[in-house]
Amino acid sequence: MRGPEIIRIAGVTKAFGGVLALSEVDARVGQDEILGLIGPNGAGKTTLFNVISGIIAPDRGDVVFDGKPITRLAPHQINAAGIARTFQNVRLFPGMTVQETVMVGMHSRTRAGLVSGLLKLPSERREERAVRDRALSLLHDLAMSDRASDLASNLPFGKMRALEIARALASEPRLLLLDEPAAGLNHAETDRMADTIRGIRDRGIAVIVVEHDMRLVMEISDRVVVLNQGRKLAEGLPREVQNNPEVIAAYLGDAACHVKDTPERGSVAECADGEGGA
Amino acid sequence: MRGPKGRGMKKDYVALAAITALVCGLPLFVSNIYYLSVLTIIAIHIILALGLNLVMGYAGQISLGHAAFYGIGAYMSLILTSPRHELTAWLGEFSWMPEFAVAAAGAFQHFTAQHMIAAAAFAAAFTGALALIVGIPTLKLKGHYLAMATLGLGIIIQIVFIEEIALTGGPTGLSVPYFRILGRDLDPNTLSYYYAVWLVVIALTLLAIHLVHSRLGRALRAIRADETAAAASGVPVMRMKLMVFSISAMYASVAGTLYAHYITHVNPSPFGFMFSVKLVTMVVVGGMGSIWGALLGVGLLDVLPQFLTVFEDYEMLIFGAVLIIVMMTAPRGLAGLLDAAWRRAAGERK
Amino acid sequence: MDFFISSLPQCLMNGLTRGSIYALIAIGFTIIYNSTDILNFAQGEFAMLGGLIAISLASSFHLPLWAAVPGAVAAGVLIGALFEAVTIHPLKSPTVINLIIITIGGSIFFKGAAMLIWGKDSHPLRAFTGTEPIHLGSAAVTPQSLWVWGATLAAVIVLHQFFSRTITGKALRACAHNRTASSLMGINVRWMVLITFALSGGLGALAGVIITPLIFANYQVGTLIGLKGFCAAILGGMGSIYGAVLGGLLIGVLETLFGTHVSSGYMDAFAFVVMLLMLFVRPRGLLGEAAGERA
Repeated sequence: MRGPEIIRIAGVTKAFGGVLALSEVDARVGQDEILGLIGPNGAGKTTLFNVISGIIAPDRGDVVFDGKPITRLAPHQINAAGIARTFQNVRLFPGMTVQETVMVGMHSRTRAGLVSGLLKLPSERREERAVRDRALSLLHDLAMSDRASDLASNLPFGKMRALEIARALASEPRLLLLDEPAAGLNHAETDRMADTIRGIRDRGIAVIVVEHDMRLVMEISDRVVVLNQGRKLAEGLPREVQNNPEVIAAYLGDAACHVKDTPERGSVAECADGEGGA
Repeated sequence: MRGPKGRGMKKDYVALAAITALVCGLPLFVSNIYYLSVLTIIAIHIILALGLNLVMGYAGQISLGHAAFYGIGAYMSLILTSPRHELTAWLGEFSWMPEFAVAAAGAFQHFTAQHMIAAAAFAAAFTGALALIVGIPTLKLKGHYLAMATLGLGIIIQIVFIEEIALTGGPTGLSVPYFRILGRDLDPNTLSYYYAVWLVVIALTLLAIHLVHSRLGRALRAIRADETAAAASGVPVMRMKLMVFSISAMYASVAGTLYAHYITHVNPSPFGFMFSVKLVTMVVVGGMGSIWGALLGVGLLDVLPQFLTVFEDYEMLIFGAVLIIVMMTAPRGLAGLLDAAWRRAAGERK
Repeated sequence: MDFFISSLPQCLMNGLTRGSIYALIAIGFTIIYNSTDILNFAQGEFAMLGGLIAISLASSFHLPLWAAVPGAVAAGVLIGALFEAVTIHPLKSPTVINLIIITIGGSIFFKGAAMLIWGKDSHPLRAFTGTEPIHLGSAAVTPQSLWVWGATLAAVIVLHQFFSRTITGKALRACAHNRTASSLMGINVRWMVLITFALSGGLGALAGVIITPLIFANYQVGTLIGLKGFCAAILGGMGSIYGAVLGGLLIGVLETLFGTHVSSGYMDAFAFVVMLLMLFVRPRGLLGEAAGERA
């Protein structure tokens, strides 16, 4: 674990009807690291994100962020505490512009209230100007300031993902949850996304990334946690996890597999039933 | 309205100034008292539509019982300003109520009858507080359930208006004195009342414009667009829904006060489900999420029947048909149509 | 207390009669909600039209009752289907508010039409088998009430058979559970939606016809009945037909008891208070399924 512990997930369990989505999941993340969260479909990764961000409450278990328990707080309180997230299928605000979207992200860091809003007091105007400027600068960091006045729904998909990240960063989080940030991106865009995520970590924001793109995960993660059917299957450095036969079996379906490093083809999995993957 | 901050609001200021000029200048050309009375009613409806638009168009919550808040404002004004109203007698009927509370209410009533602004302010505060209380369990509901809950609340409140005869005068109602301010009585049949009502409309529209272009207005729009994403971005969703619900109730109460002192006799019939539906129609047909849409909707639905008085028997039929047709062809309302036309003219992509 | 007990049977009888009507409305409402997620605010108007059409068929067209009644029900089926075909079917991706306003618009339209056709007066319909009260113990029941109970029971039985035995019925249940999967299985979902509206139109008309001999029909009669029917559906649990029946009967009986012993003026408010309590405490109703279990 890199850096002091920023978040600890302990014994988190959640069932939906008869389905056990999460079962006794434990994990810790350090302030200076990128944690990759992987696992086959239905493993419970997004559910875990929903628990951390307060969208659903776990049946059992706790989440402690920066020393404070946040398990049953409302999503907006968790955001104010310092955790921001993106969504698997990008959830922007239909009807709002790019700049406005980012400005919403700053809600928990700003204070103008009802009276100053209704009367347009100078303090409100000042804060609005500052918010507008900060939003533009965030967009600039993500190479999107030329799109500030466009409707968010008119953006190409790759830029929508970037916008969601900008909105999340606007709340000045200490921990960022990225849910499949590379899904739907092409090779070049994925590389840019990797740089962006590394840049976020280097700015002192811890990141948990759920991803299916193994190349991306293994490249950028400092550590990896593997979930399968709601349970934590493995945890460790990317290389360790990659070579873990149970992990491979979970992905490829219960065959005994070995991972070999070959100079020609990189890491290759050889499995007993003759199937394999790289 | 949309657009980077600053620019959008200036457009709204301009539009408001234009409307103010229009409203002030109109009496110079129109002296027919009947037309002025229609315009006064339109003004009152605009206040209602503005409030409802904040709830439905900005926070995205359905309210099918808004006429109830209108009625509470009207009856509160009635109770607090009518010289012969038997409030203390009605309160006295409740055996659990202590003597001093009844006496205090009586003294307060005496005060507000002399200072009617206080009555109006109290009515608004009361209605706003009631909306908060009722809103806490209600606004947890979504979609259809919320619609049904607001509908039920509205119906129950109207039945209270009808049944509590000692308090409200029952189905026949009670009379309301002229609004007394700065030592003068405002006769609703004079130009003074017309200007007074429109002054309130302009002020409340200004407040609404400010709210929409503020941090809270942005948060409301985010809630309407995607509640979960808004919450994850730090917006306290429930608190904001309650806030805007309460504000809209206060707007409705102000409208009720203006109505009571205009019509000078209040009975329960305008405060029922049909009027709540009419209000929702005005907001939706005009265009939800647009202040000017609210005004458009009121204008259309209040003025059109004037031209169709020949078809009075067909009014309900036509109203129903209009609702259906507009919803099917222009789901974003008139403001939506105008907006789309504007964009096409300006060459923007949709 | 003596009065309470002695009046109980009569209250029960009256309550079950009103409750049956609410139940029929609630079923129609539930069927549509099940397959379309639409709150049909025009449901009460189907009842109003059923009653008025039966009256016209009997008096203006001189049809005997055994023809006028089914004729009115058939008209209800037709009106329901037409309503869906004209206003709901063409919509592409309507929002909840859009749909609510369209059905409200429909209800206003029907009321306006009824006012034009039948005027503002109330019209009578002859009771099916006479008005001589039948004595059941200490309570007196008109024969028409028996018709109401009977028709409601018959409707519930027929619907049960329909939904569990016929292909169309099963297809409708499939749609209610998962529209996408149903469509992928080859069920023509849009046709199903039309059928639900037609069915609800018929049920609503039936309710209107059987109650009209007891309450007189006019263009306004549908509104309150429709709204109370909604309360019944919510009490019983949106999505459950048996819930709708239970809710309707419960509200009918409890409302009558409340009106007789507590306050007749507030009797109409009772159903809505019950609905509100239900929504606040247990939105899925008595027999409904928990939220989030339908795709």
